[in-house]
Amino acid sequence: MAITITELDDVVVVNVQNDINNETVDEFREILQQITEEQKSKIVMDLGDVQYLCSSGLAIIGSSLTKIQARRGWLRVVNVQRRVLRLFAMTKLTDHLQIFDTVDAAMQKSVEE
Amino acid sequence: MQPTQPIQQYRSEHISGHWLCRSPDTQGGDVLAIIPDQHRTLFIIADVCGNGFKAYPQRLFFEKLLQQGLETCTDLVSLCNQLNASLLSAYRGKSYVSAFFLSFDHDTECLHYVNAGHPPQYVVSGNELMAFDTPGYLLGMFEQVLFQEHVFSLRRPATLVMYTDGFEDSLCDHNDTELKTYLSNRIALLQGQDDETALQALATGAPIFDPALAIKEDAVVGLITLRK
Repeated sequence: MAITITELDDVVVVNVQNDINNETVDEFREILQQITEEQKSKIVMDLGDVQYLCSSGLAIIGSSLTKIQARRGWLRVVNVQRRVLRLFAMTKLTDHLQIFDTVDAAMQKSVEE
Repeated sequence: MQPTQPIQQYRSEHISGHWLCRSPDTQGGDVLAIIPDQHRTLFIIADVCGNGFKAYPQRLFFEKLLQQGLETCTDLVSLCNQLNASLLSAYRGKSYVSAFFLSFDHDTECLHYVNAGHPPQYVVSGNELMAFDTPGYLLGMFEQVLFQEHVFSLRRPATLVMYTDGFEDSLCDHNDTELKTYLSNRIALLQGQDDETALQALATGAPIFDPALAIKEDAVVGLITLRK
């Protein structure tokens, strides 16, 4: 699985570069677990290349979000593709996740805060 | 070999149900259940996070929780609240269940439903195909979420079209309009057919139920007819 992680000030930008499916979900879990265990509290996740998100992937995003919110942080997702966006809407994850069009927009919101 | 279970059936005086399950293993995480009660009949379709053998133990656990919930809860919202709390306690948000609960009240002829993060379900009444497409929270992902019950006045005969996401994944690219068009076209062709034939035809159009194809997901599709 191709995931790149960059840190811009105190924000971690996670760029997921392929689908999150049965083959890739374990690696996705490990990386998200590592980030949350490092007590990072501001995360931007770029899902621009993710056309498919499996149920286990959704659970990882949900549990990461809960952990991050517990330490008063945030998880923002950007470039969300139609199919994944439908999944977020259907499960009302849109009530909990902050969704932006671009990484820049998510970062800009961070500066405003 | 990708096992498709034989058509499962339910029959009572006014209700008949036929459904098909498919999993990459013999048992998976998707389930359809019809549970009769004194004045109502419950229809539940659920999809446990993950698939195949990995999801199966969680499915059994969910079914146990469901049984316990049905013994104590009198309405669907209480049932969802109880299931949400139990799943959160067991899995701490690392796993969840998406489910759609429908309850047909035989006295009032009303169909009550709660969506817990599941794809829309459909009802065919007359020549009309209607979607129950209100979104809802998943069971076991977040604390303190509000589940909403909706009520629909049903004109019998009517047929519920119930399925999990594996079915729609194989039909269209998660597009509600495409799916509704597919179902409308198929169902129009199936008028007058018995439910078993209709179900076979519905499933034949979905590649996930093609035994020749290798699949990695679980899927359930069912037709439930409520007669006068």
